[in-house]
Amino acid sequence: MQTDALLSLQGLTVSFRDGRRRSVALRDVGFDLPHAKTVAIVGESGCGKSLTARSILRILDTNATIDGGQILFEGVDLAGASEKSPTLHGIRGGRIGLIYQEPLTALSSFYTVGNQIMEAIRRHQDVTKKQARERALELLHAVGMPNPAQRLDAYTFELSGGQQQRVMIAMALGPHPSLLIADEPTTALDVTTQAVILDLLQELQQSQGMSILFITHDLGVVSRMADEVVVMYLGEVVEHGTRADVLTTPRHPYTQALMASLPGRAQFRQATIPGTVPSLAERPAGCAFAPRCAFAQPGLCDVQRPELVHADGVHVRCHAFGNAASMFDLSLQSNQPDTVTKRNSRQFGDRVLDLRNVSKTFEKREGLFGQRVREIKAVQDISLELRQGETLALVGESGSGKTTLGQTIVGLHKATRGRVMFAIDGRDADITNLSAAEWRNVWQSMRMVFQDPFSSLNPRMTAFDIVAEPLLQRPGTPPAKPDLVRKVHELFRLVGLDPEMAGRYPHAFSGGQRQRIGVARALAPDPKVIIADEPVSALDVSVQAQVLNLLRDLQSNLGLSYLFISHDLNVVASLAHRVAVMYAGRIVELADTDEILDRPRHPYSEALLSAVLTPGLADQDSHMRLPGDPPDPLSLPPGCVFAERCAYATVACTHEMPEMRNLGGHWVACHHAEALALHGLRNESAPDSPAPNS
Amino acid sequence: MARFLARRLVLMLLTVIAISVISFFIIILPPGDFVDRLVQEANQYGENLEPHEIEDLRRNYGLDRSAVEQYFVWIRNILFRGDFGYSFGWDLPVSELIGQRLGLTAFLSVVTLLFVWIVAIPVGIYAAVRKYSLGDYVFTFLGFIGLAIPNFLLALVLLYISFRYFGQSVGGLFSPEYVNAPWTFARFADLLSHLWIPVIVLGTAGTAEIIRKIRANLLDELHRPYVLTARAKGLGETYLLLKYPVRHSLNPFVSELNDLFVKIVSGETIVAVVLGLQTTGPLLLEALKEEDLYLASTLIMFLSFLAVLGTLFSDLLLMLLDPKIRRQAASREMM
Ligand SMILES: Nc1ncnc2c1ncn2[C@@H]1O[C@H](COP(=O)(O)OP(=O)(O)OP(=O)(O)O)[C@@H](O)[C@H]1O
Ligand code: SF4
Ligand code: SF4
Ligand SMILES: [Mg+2]
Repeated sequence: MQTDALLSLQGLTVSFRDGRRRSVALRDVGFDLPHAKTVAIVGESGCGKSLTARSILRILDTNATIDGGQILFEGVDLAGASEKSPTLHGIRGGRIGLIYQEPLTALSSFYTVGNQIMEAIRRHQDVTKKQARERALELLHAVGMPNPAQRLDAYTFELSGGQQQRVMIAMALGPHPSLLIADEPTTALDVTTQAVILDLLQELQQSQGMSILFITHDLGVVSRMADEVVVMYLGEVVEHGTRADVLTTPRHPYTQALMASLPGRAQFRQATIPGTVPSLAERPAGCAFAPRCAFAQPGLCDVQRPELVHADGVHVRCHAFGNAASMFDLSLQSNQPDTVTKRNSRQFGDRVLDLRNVSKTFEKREGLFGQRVREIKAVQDISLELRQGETLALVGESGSGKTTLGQTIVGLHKATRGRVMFAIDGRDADITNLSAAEWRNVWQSMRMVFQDPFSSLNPRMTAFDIVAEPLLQRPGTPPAKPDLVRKVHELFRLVGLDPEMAGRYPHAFSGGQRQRIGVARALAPDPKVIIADEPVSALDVSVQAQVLNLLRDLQSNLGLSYLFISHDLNVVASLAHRVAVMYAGRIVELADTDEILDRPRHPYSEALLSAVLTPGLADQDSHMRLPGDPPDPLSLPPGCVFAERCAYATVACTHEMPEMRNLGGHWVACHHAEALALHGLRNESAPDSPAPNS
Repeated sequence: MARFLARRLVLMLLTVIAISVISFFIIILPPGDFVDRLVQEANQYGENLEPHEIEDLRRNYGLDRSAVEQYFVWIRNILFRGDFGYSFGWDLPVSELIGQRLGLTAFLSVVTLLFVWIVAIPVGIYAAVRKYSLGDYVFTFLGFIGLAIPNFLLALVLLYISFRYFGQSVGGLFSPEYVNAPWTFARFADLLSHLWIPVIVLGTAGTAEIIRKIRANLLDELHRPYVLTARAKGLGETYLLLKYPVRHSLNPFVSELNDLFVKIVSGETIVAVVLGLQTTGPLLLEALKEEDLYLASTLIMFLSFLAVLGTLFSDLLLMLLDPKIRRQAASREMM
């Protein structure tokens, strides 16, 4: 079949050899990528998005083979091309460029970025070294690298994450490809940087007439970038249509469930998709989604694999759209949240945690014999309080000091200045300077949950031992064995795990389950406060929804207080009662969640919010972009820390530091807070928000 | 960069001084000295020395002064007269005794090191890239043998082979006619023709170890994202392999380079005894047995100086190899 698309995948099937077994990882993947358009592939982790990209470039791992299908690119079938064929090598990197997730590890730290860009150019174009260098400079200019001439000779570790990704893009664009494959290009970046990079990709696409295959798990990014959307599940295309079709009226039950499990506003329980993506070896017999599908028809869905059918301009792989459509009623919204536990009032309990002007400074030794000491001001002058039953979110870009603050509170760092007060037995106790033994006591009621469920659990301990450990470390006599078992099993049930699984080791759990173990471990000694550092960032949306629901339920049942550290404003919006925005080690704004989201009063909060992408919102682009990078913590500016990047900065801002001021319960550190009319998430269109100050 | 070097040189100097102190006092502090040994030997021949004769002997050898005093005299003579003291056992100035031997030890060690690299690096790369191939298994097997065979046994086997099949003289670094000849090209060629046995003996274990390390390091690197990037750029497989993962995998190996060097230098003693090599090893052994104070201390000092030089070399190589370390060193920072 000949198509006029730039790239056309047809029936692509890829499998892995795994010992003796072969498991199919891509099954009949087919879609077209038109000229100068962007097609996004979405789906949860392990659904074969990256594998599709790597198959197109034929850079699969050695244990993978293409078993069938065609990859037609500019009239050539790449799937059939021989590994040694010059056409393939010319296309790889020449006609098709690739950028992907972690730019730091995707570039070599041993060669200058110029060297790596020039290499790509010279591989595909017959130019001299000098010409290649000029072209590389041009490219760095085109991707908006500040100081490009100087940066040409820089190494990756001398660049920020956003700058590294610009280098990757420049490198991929060097030989003028007609197709750019972008595999999660902004996932490792801050939202504000993400916004700038997405702009850049769109600009470049327009100026060069390139097509983009955009791979992401983030539906917000899809709605900003894609012309068409391909939804993948377990190595199959389950839905394919235009952006509007797929995002506003999702047809396939998986797409529907994915959209429904996105965190929403207000503190509701979220819809979730039960279970997780099965492993390749356990591919279900009929429809791959059947075990998790709310509409599955026994006898059909679990037996017969649905075809990809064409319905109203959309391709869907689901029996509900095929010949058996009459058996299904997809309008039944069975994925609705079961219980609603909206926070009932603003009445929280007593104060449990109280930070007073807490600062944490790290020292960095320099000079011939390390005699010169420079200060890294990681956290500066933070005051905040947390009440019983409340969730306070700490948001900000990477490097803003969120994690350091969390760790300082739980005593993993010692505060350089200021005091941390913690309510023990109804009395405020100063926990700034405690001995190790005293800390052990405090850690019974103040617990931490970590970001990475993969590295935060000891792989040599069973889930039971992991959860039991804090109980055994309690001061006093350790609990008797039967009591311990009862308590641990109770904890397992509390976080929604089957106690039967307690004897397993962490590797035998999925990411979401591991995070539940982490939560169970935190809950073991009946704590009052939980400090959760990006607890859902490493999880897929459907699993993320499960963990967020768990946190909500535990809070309403046990009256826990959370300090919730996150960079994801969508998650924060759905969980937190109050939000503190951090920038360069300082809190710049602190107010109720709705207040901050709809009526931010600090220019940095406004910039953060304008970078938030919510799927479904029509015009995502408020065209407010943050230039530059956050200041170097080794040499912070004397005035407002945000002044360098602030669109509203005046002369006063650059030499006078703004104090934190209370504007009717809304704390903000900006000289011009009252005078500014800033945009929040809901802007003018939202009925319940007053027009911005005029 | 200059500052980095200056700092390193200061540190090196301090290290060598510290070692000279330690080696000197380790030999001098235990009860008994060279004169005691002389008295003992005399007794065995039925001669009894009078107490005042013993006193005289001590004074002659300078052993009547305090240990600290002796140390400073020794150091002063080294610094101002290039005089490393006198070997009691050989009745010769230390400098005359060790000059050539030190040179041979250094030469042998460096050649062994080069041998290890030249063999181990390509083999290690091959074994990683062709993981679980026949070649990989063969090299792994040979590696096990290399690690398991004691050096002296290997030395004897090779000696036999060289004698039986190549008709070479047994042992030593030179044929008999060249042992005391002045340096000529012919003598150097003779040295090279004898060198292979000690080089192989000294280098085998190290080679096996380095192959294993390079293989493991490279296996880690082969699946890193930057390799994928290079491949996605359309680069040729061999070229990208050498430019990226191999270059990245050399780092840990270079930083351990000095350990290997020290192992070679210290492993040399026993091999030299078995093979009858004119290097420092056997001399040092003898000197320690005889409590030949200045000879032993000087040898230890020079050998550790060699080791310190090795560290400096591996650090410099690391800087050459790793831009991150280079930038840190260039832009002040602690090292
Ligand atoms: N070398 C390999 N050997 C065996 N299985 C593999 C290998 N590489 C990937 N897989 C499997 O192939 C499937 C598809 O992986 P792929 O990387 O394409 O997922 P993805 O959709 O990109 O996920 P993510 O969002 O996590 O990047 C997964 O089940 C994965 O475990
Ligand atoms: S085919 Fe059946 S199980 Fe699969 S998605 Fe459709 S309704 Fe659900
Ligand atoms: S104080 Fe000035 S620079 Fe700082 S945020 Fe406010 S307006 Fe911007
Ligand atoms: Mg992926």
